[in-house]
Amino acid sequence: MDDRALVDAIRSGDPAAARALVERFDAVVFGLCVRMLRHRQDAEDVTQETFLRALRGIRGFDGDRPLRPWLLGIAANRCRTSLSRRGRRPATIEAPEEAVDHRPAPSSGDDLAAELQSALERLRPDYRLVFTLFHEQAMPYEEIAQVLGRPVGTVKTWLHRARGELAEHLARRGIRCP
Amino acid sequence: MPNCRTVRNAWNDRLDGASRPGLDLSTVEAHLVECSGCREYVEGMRLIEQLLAIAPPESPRPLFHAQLLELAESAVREKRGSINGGTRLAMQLSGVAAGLVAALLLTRGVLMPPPDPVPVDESVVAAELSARLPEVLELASAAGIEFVQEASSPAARLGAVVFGSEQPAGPELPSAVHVPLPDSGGMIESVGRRVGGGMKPLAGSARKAFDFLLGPVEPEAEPTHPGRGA
Repeated sequence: MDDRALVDAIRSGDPAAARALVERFDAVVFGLCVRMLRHRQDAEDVTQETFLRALRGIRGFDGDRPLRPWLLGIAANRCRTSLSRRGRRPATIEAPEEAVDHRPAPSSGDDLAAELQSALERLRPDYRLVFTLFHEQAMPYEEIAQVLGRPVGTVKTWLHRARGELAEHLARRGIRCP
Repeated sequence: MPNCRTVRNAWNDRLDGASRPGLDLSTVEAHLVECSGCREYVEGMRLIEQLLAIAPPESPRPLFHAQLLELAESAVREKRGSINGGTRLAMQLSGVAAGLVAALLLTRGVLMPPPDPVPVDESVVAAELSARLPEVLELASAAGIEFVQEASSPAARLGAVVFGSEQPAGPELPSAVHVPLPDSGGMIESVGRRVGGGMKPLAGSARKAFDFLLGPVEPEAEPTHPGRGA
């Protein structure tokens, strides 16, 4: 079933179509949320909210457009809202950006994956979002620009800065290509 | 020989899947041999690519996935149910409101046929209805409240379906087809639909529905401000 047919089926009230929507997209939506929020429970909450909003608002969705960027756009907005709420909570203690890191450099694949996650956490949310949408969700610049409501040039600049900051952080940690 | 900025942009373009036109890659390589800063930068870019390959995004837990499937299904069912229920309730209210008006008119003799067939004077009908408007509104409001109460039972049953809890079967909503309508009830049906179409608040909706019987409403006088003017 293509996107158009899926949208029509959901609009007609077919519960199986709603399940199909989740089956098809929950991994990508959750993947974005967990990268953005760095917290599995929060990511599940936002993923759930994303699908509920999508199902409630599907009558207003332009069925000629692909579903994936639309859903990721909703998820991105919910993630930003969640992060801004979190920002209003009392600040947690974090390591200063330039503090000397005495931890040993990682060696296993899992450790390296954790290093990437840790480095991503240090990026500002907009950079992290652009980086995740581009590299993990394989979205082209134009779609990311639509999701964020920003010009393509801004998206490109943020992505390049994100890469640069990630590379700097990883170098400070003494991580080299395996 | 390209400068550092050009080299770094070119490397980002490569990661983006694009190539920078007019740039000779051998000159980039030559720059990297001489510039340790750009070498480190490029090394960092390669490292990011490798880390992305070994650190795929996390997947949702199977339990969460199952819950999400159920939730999505319920959301669609709920939406369909609420639309059908809303339409049904509006139809019920329309029918009952029309019936109320019809019954009132027929029992009070406003539209009872006179012994000798004479044309009905619409101004007389309007005057009669205007005089009895408070009573009509009271009856319509009472009917509205009663039907909201009636509708709460199907809503509870819908909730039971959505959330899986068991509820005793409630009474069926009365059907609009049982409400008697006069043959010449076009106007009355129209009134009924207008009354039934708005429940929030019913009295306000009913008042609007009967506006056409009350004639033109005199515009309210502009409030006067004692402190101004004089």
